[in-house]
Amino acid sequence: MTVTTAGPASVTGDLLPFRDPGFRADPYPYYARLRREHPVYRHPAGLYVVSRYEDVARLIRNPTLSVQQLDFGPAAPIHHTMLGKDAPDHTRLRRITNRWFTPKAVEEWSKVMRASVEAVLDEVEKGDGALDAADGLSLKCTFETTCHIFGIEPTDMDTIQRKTYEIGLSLGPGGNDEEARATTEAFAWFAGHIRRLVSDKRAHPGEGLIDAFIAAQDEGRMTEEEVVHTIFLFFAVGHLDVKHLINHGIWLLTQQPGLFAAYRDEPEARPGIINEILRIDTPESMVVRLTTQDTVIGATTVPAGEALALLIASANRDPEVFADPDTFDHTRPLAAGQHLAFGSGMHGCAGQVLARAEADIVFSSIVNRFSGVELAGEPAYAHTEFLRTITHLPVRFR
Amino acid sequence: MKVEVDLKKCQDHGQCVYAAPDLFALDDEGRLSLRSQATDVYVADVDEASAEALYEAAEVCPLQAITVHE
Ligand code: HEM
Ligand code: SF4
Repeated sequence: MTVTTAGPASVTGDLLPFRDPGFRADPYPYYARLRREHPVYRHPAGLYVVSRYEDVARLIRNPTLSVQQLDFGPAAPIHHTMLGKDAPDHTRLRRITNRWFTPKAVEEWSKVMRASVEAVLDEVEKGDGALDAADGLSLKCTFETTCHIFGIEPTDMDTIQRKTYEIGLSLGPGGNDEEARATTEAFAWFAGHIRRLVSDKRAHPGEGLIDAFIAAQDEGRMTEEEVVHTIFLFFAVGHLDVKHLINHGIWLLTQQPGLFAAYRDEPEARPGIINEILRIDTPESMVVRLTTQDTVIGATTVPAGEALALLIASANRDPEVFADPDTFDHTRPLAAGQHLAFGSGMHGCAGQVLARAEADIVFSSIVNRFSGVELAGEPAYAHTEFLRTITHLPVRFR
Repeated sequence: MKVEVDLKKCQDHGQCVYAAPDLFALDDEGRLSLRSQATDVYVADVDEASAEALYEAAEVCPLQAITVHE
């Protein structure tokens, strides 16, 4: 591979040690150094890492960058979904699902989410107020909502969470062979599970998203592979990142009683609070793209055929855009709403209206029902270089 | 009828372009091309013949940046 400037190539040592537990626990100081010293950093793994807001925001909308030509390694089946396709296939697939996640549709899904959350909190109130919010609330309620949208019963939740995580391990650039094997097995499990769900649906049709995919296949607008893997995609995105938004939000409520009161007493502040949770601990650290032509990023010209890691989690902490970026402040001026946690451009998150609604339902239900929340034990984490994950969040409501 | 696009809300997701390619476009930078004509709010007349596409665009915009006025 050729490097056209000395900048990124002259760095020695790994400034972004993807597998280092210290990095995974707290990547933000590493990002800060990159933004200051190496805004376009040639990582030893071969990709170019872009960390400043201005560059990331521009590139994430750059229509010459490809995802279809990226080598996803063991996660190659993702190329059967919109996440791995360029126009016109991307457009075709995205148009089939867009209508299912409009604000009007989300009003319907919100009813399911609300009922699910209220049922969990009813039980908590009957008991001693303790709950592992990670599996017992965030995962459970978002999963039940996803299954309702699909038009299926909410079964196999724990397996689906585990298999999704095993695929997630190979989505970032830091994976190893063992993780690659787990990813391949997880895709095989999903394919079997989903093909069973689809044939069940063909025998007992309904009005869910899976029925819409079956109709699209029968009309020649989707291939069978696309149906299977798009269902996988929605199983995954239906809980993965939004779970972290909810978990991190609940954790913040345990740390900042003032935030609890603000969420309860200032409804107009709620969207800003959700934005700030997404900014301060962005669930998905990066999006990856392939250059298809010489691409100028600041002082660096990246040639065609190179992978770019656009660090949205770093962009969201760039002091050029967010003053005092490491401090949680939900009263930031409006421009701060322009965080990049949902990506942007063509591949910008298709589920962001739903994700915001789901988080708001959880936080509102908590502050309306209880007077406070505290940690009832140590949270446990399984952060990767790509995804922020809280696996256990023992809390007590009072 | 009129269309109003709140360019402060819009994040250039381009979903409106898929729904109504005759009304919306992205520029070479991947940003909504209307940005060259307004900074905060873009307002324009739209032919009734495009009503259906326009309503679809307003519906699918993930940021709810598009408003239709009869
Ligand atoms: C807090 C929650 C969420 C966050 C932070 C998030 C973040 C993201 C990001 C960063 C992307 C862009 C990936 C890229 O550009 O390569 C994306 C894409 C996507 N998201 Fe989300 N997401 C969330 C929740 C959801 C939910 C609840 C759904 C749907 C049920 C969803 C559906 C999708 C889909 C389908 C795509 C692919 C869009 C495309 O390629 O055109 N997301 N999301
Ligand atoms: S769909 Fe909405 S956010 Fe996307 S470009 Fe159009 S107006 Fe902007």
